[in-house]
Amino acid sequence: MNKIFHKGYFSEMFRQLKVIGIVAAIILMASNFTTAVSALMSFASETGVLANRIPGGFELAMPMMMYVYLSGLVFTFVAYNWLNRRAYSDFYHALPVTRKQMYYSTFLAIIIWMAIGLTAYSIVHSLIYLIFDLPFNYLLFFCVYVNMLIGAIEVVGAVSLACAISGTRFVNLFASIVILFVPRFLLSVMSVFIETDAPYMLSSIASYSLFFDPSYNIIATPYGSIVQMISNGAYTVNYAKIPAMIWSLCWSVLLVFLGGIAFNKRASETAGIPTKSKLFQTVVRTAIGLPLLLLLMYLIVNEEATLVAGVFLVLFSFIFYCLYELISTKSPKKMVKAMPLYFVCVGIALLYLVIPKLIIKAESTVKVDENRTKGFYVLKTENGFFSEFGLGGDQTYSSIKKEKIRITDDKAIEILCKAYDRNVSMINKNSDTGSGMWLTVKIDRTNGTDIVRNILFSESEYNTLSQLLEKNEDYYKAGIAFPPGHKYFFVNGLTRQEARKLAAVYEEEFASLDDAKKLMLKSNMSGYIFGIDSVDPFEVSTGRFNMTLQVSGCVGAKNFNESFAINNFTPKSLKMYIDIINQRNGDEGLKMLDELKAWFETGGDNGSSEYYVDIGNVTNVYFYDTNYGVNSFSGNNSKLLPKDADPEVYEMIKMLANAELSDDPENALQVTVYVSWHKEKNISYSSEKVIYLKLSDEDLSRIRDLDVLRRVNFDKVGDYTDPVLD
Amino acid sequence: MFAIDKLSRTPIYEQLIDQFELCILSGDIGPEGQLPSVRYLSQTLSVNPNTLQRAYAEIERRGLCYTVPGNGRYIAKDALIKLREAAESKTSEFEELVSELKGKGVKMETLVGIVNRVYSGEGKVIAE
Amino acid sequence: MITAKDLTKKFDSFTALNALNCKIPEGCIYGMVGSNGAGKSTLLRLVSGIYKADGGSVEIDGENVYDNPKIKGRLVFVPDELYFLPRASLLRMAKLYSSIYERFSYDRFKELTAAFRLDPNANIGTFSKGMKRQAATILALSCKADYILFDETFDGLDPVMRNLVKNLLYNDVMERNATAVITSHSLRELEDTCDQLSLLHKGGIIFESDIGNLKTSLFKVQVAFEGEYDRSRFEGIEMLSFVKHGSVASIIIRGDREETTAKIKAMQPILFEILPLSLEEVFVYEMGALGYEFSDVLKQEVE
Repeated sequence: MNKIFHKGYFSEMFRQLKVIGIVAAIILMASNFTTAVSALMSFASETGVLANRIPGGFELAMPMMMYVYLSGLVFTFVAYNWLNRRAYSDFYHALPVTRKQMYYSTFLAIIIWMAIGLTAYSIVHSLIYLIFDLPFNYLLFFCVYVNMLIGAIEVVGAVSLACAISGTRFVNLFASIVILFVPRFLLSVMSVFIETDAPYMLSSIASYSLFFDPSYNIIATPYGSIVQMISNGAYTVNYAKIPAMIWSLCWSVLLVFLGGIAFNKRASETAGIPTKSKLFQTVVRTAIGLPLLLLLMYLIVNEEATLVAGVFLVLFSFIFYCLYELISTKSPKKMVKAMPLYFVCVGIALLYLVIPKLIIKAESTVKVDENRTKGFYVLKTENGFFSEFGLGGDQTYSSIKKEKIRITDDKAIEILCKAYDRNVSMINKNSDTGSGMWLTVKIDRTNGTDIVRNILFSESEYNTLSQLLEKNEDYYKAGIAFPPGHKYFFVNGLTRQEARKLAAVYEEEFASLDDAKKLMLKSNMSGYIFGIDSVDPFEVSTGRFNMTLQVSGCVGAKNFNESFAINNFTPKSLKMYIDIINQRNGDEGLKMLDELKAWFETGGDNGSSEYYVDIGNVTNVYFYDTNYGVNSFSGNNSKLLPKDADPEVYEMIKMLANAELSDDPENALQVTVYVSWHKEKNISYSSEKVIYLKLSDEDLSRIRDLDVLRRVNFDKVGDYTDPVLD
Repeated sequence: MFAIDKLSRTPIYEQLIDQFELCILSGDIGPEGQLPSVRYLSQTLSVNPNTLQRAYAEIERRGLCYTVPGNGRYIAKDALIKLREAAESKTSEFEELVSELKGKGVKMETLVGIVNRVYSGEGKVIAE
Repeated sequence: MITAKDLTKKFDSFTALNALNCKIPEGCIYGMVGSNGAGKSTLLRLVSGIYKADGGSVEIDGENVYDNPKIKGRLVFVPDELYFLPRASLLRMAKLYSSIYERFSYDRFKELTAAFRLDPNANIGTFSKGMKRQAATILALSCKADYILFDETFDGLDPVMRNLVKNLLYNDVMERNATAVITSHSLRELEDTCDQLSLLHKGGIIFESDIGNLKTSLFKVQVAFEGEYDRSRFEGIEMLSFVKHGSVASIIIRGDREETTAKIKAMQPILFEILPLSLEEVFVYEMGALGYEFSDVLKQEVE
């Protein structure tokens, strides 16, 4: 250990980094203040729908990733500042410490400071969520934390290597960026080529493998998260992928090790000289000559290359290549000497033509047949997750479970193999993909390996497969499961404690239902009931109420977020909900209706009243009337009282104002009311209130018959039509 | 006691030897007296200890002093005698010189005057 | 003992040291002069293990210095261009040194700081150039090294401080048999301080000698004879220079003084005077003998 560690030198380096180490840790910790503040706000109030979402890997990683990049760069620059000035460099090289000891002791000092920053931040961050019992996935966060530690090692390794091979700040920075990002970038470009070259199916090789699975080497692929955002989940960064973490760790350690070798060889007299490393010069020169060539290759692969374009691109690529050498070495002789090495550029560019083809060729020889297939898993549809959408792009609990279910049904496997073969021949014949349904499957093979592929199934194949899947008991059960384990709940209009109480009742009620009902409740999203197209609001049916219980939680490191409908199928829960709402809003709501009725009877002045009433639920509006400012009903005739201007509305309002609060889900009408009188009446309510009223059967049927309802187009669910313009 | 003229062209080493001889002749340090240590002289005179060492080695070689290990350097019993003997050989040189000068026409008064000047004022008085 | 064997060091196409050989024994205070670019600093940097030799070797006590903390821990180097941590005080630098040099002594450090009358808590960045040099010297001497290398350190100190540092050096030499290697532009300075001197030029040592020898074995003689004579008159005497004005000849002679005196006296001169030479003159004539022009080799600072 003494060969690479010197306690005195380590403590000196640790001391030198003390100030910026603490400052950086404080800055990172400061981002916890915003977390704490929004946690407090979220804790205290009932905010929007996504308040219940568990933070995903990307947002968990963001602050730490910025920290790793910046402090990794800055700390290492500060620690190796002395390599860039002759006098400084001589001083350090004269110290009685071996090169290896210097390097690894410095590395340790930097890493420990970064770990302090990351760890302090992470502890506080988790604590905030823990204390307020807010939705959080602790395992995922821990995985992100580990990834960031690995990332720290990688950044420090890359920057150390960069500082060891160069002698000015500018080249230090330039080299750091090249060493950190370029290798991974080249792989990513390769995956683009693979995707371009092969249709969707085999491109999955690219996305699920080293080439462009952005879970590998996360810190070198910051654009992976960006791509994740814009690709809608096609590429996701999985922070909990163990092989990816191991790979990243190995690469990081390699960089550190290479840095050590370079540092050991470094001559003190190279301080202040941009770089003496011939290898680095060659790499940069090649990197400059490469892009235009790659562009040419891309055109070739897409069959859009012309001779003119080809000549043009190659010529300019060569010119840039030579120009760089000339400018950086200021020696025409060296430029001429470098010219033959241009073929390295050409060689690398050609690899981009060759390797994708080889990979695709190799993969298309993989035989997937009944004998070789033990089973398969269905991971995704082309839209995301197998027939299920979570909120905000998350999965549902069921889809997480379904991913893990191995299908061994013979018929299903037969369909799979047939589809696979067809896909392969499509590749080989280079024919069009045609239409159908894409599914991402993981195929377990008898030889112990598994492969992940996107496969196009025909419509009939897809339908057969879906039916077979539904017959699978585990599959079926997963589809109607209520998520177990620690969960977080949200119900629009309720506080968190109320939601939790409701959820307990709901879970029990849900368990007692039959499978068909379970399915209907579970697949409810924001208003759409599976299999039911249109709903009569006055029908005592499932369509009248569409409150949802939002449930979020996690299975291991995967987050889920789904909605369960609260409606007549779950009367106990529904009643509880209605009671809570009425308890909270009842008085004020009824008061508003009274005010409204009074206004209709006595009239208001011009330009100072505002109200709206809707019956039904928030997104399915069945009646809606508003009045802003001038008595819009009467049009020109401003002398009329509102009750005379629009007697039907008045009648309805009267009925509503006379009604009582409901206590029976079977007989409850959801009414949303908002009134605001300015000036004269001097009454103003701050927000709309939802209340549930009990109307008599006659009143209900009377409202139904009212002409006013013709103002609203039933079929256009969710459409608002200004009554005046009708 | 010792003085080194750093601006003189005479090498320090030679000056040191002259100074040692002088202090023996003048009786500042008597026979069996201890000579100052290299360390002391080096610090007070600001002289390279190696140079001091060599100077001491030289006068030891000439038999003017001896070293007692662990104790220091001491003036030899017969140091004065040795130096005087050396002075005497110089006296015969002097005689030669006087004849030479006489032969060249230098007046006796001139030479006597010089002798008087030396003995009366400048220069170190040699003890009996 | 510091031993350089055929030591060669190149920077790109420029050869700073060309198969240089020298031996510096323990306890020696070794001075080096040479023009700028002669290779003095390069040599010191090779001895302190900052540079790696391109050819040959440099060893201390038989071991290679480069990347050898065991040896480097007994060695300390004060360069011409000093480095201190930004905004550091002497105490802060002392912390650095004591973490890394095993022999660093805080007691010594305190003594020296007091002796030089520097404030150990003050920001060294605010010190004058001379004070910075003093600070560097304090830190270096506190390391209790066996090998002390000073690159033009004295040149930046005032006479009082120079004396102080000299005495400190002597102290270390006497106490620990420390070896010092000092470079300077001033022969005057080195003459006072060192016991061995060497002259570097264009990457090699062209002259190396014991100071005592240098000055005693070379001397100037002014002599006159009746009648005509020329240098052939002095056969058997090694002469580096012979200049005759009228009947008086000024001769630079290398040899034993007494022998030479006897020989010349035997020739019955009408005038005979022996004059010691200054170190500069010694150098001039020695190098003249070796074929170098003075102005080529040394740029002398006016004191």
